[in-house]
Amino acid sequence: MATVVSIHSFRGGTGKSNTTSNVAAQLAAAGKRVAVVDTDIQSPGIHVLFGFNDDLQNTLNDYLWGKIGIAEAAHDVTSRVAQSTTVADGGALFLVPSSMKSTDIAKVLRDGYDVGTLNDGFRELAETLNLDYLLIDTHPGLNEETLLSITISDVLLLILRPDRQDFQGTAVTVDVARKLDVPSLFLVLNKVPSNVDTDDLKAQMTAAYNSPVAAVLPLSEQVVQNASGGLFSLTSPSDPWSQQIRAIAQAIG
Amino acid sequence: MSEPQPATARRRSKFTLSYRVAALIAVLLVISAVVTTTFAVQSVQNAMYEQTNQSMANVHTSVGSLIKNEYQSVLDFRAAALESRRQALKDEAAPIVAALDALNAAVEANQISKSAAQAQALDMLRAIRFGNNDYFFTYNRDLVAIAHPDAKFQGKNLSNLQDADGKYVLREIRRVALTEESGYVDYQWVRLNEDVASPKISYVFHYAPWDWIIGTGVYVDDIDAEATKRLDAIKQQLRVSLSNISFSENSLFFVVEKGGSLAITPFARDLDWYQSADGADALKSIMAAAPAMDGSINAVTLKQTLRNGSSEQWVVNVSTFQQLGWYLVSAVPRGELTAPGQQLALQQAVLSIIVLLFGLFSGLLMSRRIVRPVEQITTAAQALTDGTFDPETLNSASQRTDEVGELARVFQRMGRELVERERALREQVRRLTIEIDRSQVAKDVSAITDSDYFQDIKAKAAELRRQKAEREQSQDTEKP
Repeated sequence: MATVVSIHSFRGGTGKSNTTSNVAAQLAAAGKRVAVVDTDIQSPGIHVLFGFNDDLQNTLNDYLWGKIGIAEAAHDVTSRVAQSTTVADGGALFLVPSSMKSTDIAKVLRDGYDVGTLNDGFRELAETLNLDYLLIDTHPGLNEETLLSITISDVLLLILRPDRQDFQGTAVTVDVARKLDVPSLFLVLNKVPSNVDTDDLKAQMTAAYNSPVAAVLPLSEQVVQNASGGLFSLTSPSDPWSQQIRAIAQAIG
Repeated sequence: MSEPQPATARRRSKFTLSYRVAALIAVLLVISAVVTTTFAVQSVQNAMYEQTNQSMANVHTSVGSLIKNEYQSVLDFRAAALESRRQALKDEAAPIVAALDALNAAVEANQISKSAAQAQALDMLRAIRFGNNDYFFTYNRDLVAIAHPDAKFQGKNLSNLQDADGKYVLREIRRVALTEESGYVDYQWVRLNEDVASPKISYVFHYAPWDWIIGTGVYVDDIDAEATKRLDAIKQQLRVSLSNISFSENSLFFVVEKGGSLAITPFARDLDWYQSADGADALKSIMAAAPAMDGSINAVTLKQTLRNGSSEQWVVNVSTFQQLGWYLVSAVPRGELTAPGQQLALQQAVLSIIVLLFGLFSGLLMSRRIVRPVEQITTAAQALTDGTFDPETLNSASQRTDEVGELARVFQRMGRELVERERALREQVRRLTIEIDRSQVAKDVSAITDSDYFQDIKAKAAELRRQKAEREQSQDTEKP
């Protein structure tokens, strides 16, 4: 059975999509079959990291509206990973993107969608593609679809930045996730200024949330400049940021 | 910083700003020194040449005038002496004419016969003596000496007699007497009781009543002797005065005669050489270059070697004095003309080197004054990068009032602010503590968990997990 990993943050701008895509790429390169589903239907963006344009066809929206099967919305992006690194035998990466069309986004905002369908889709996708990992890039905040994703997750990755609002909001998310009996929960602290005492912060976090910290990602100008230009952990494997990404992949595995 | 910075490496190159400024100053000074020295030396040499040539020309003009005047005085003396002799002769002749006229009047009055009167007159003429044994002579138209104190001429026809110069003396006397009534004739004649001819002038006249040619002469060799004596005295005097002429340190003045011998020797110079073949050649070439003997006293300039065993060129001016057949030569060594210029060049060179050293020194000093604060700023920038910046290191540079000082002040301020900002940031982040408002969290959580949707999904979650577990189990059981 596929391990379902939800990547979530209390607020936007935590680098959630970038982290998701890089972790997925690392897993695929290690020989796993991985799919990333962009459920941030209201403000999608992860497809850019895999080199897609905004006019891409066959999206999660099409599946939710019954136009196509979920497998048809899965785009094989293994070659994208293979561009920068060697993909171990059996490794594969698929992306189920959300539509960037403004009309599609407007329709989602107006009509909503059936989260049951989404759940069915996850299951079908895992079976059809014989996945090892299903990564769900969620919409920030705690809405119905997010709660569903959290509920069905084997692993929940909570990404936060070192600021007061994120600390507070993440505490809420952690408590809610506990109540939903999520089997495994990791915290990922992102965009940490380089001169912060990370060990101290890690210890504080572990104590405050009573949860393990999978990684502390530094605030890296290089990553910011590279953002949306590709998969940084593959192109700059020795960068401290990339090392932390691999730590996340390891924690999930 | 373990890695070498490109900027630092470049700063260590030997072409620093100071050296460039110093090199620029040096080049400018050298160019200026060369230009001014060349100009000054050229001017000095030209001036020296002009001045020396001018003084040489002046020497020739004044010496020429001096000789001309002295020579003229001799000519004047001679002319005056001759004139007085002539007048004296004419004066002696006047009483003779009166006596002849008296005799002729007696003849015409028939008081005496013409032949007796003429015989009486001839006796008288033959007997007269005056002056320095001077006498009268009387010829008829055929130039027979009808009265002559010299017995060897008495009664002889002397029409074919020639003097030492080949002149037909009596024919000339007859021509002057018959055509001009009276006049003077110059010729050479042997004195009474002597053998050698001497210059003589005679006053002759035609006594028309009897067709006689009568004359009296006087020897003028004493006048010429006196003139020659005076000329010799003048030459002697010129020898003394001209040989002392000096118009510069090593100048020469001497006189060469037409034949090539030295009339006035170069004062205190190498006489042997002037008398040697080389010297004679040198004098010959000077004479060849000299202006024509036409009475002019202007000089001509030429270059000539004038010293024994020397190839040194002299600037020579030569003029001529026609009446004496003299070549007046003045000369000055060329080295004397160029020496002041060379001395000036040397002085200028020494002065230039001093100015150059001073310029280099002050240029280096000045540019060091500019560069040092720049280096301090560079060091400070490096320190800022390394995190060891100390604003105090820019205190001296920032006290300057120029642009570099302004840069230093701005940099100092910027560095201070950067350090302060960095420090503040570090403080702030280090103090980063996780503070969570637990009551708010509890409120927010219950707002979610109390919702129907949450209750619904929580119920579903249990179901979903159960289904999933079942699926996994069935897969596991299918596998073996």
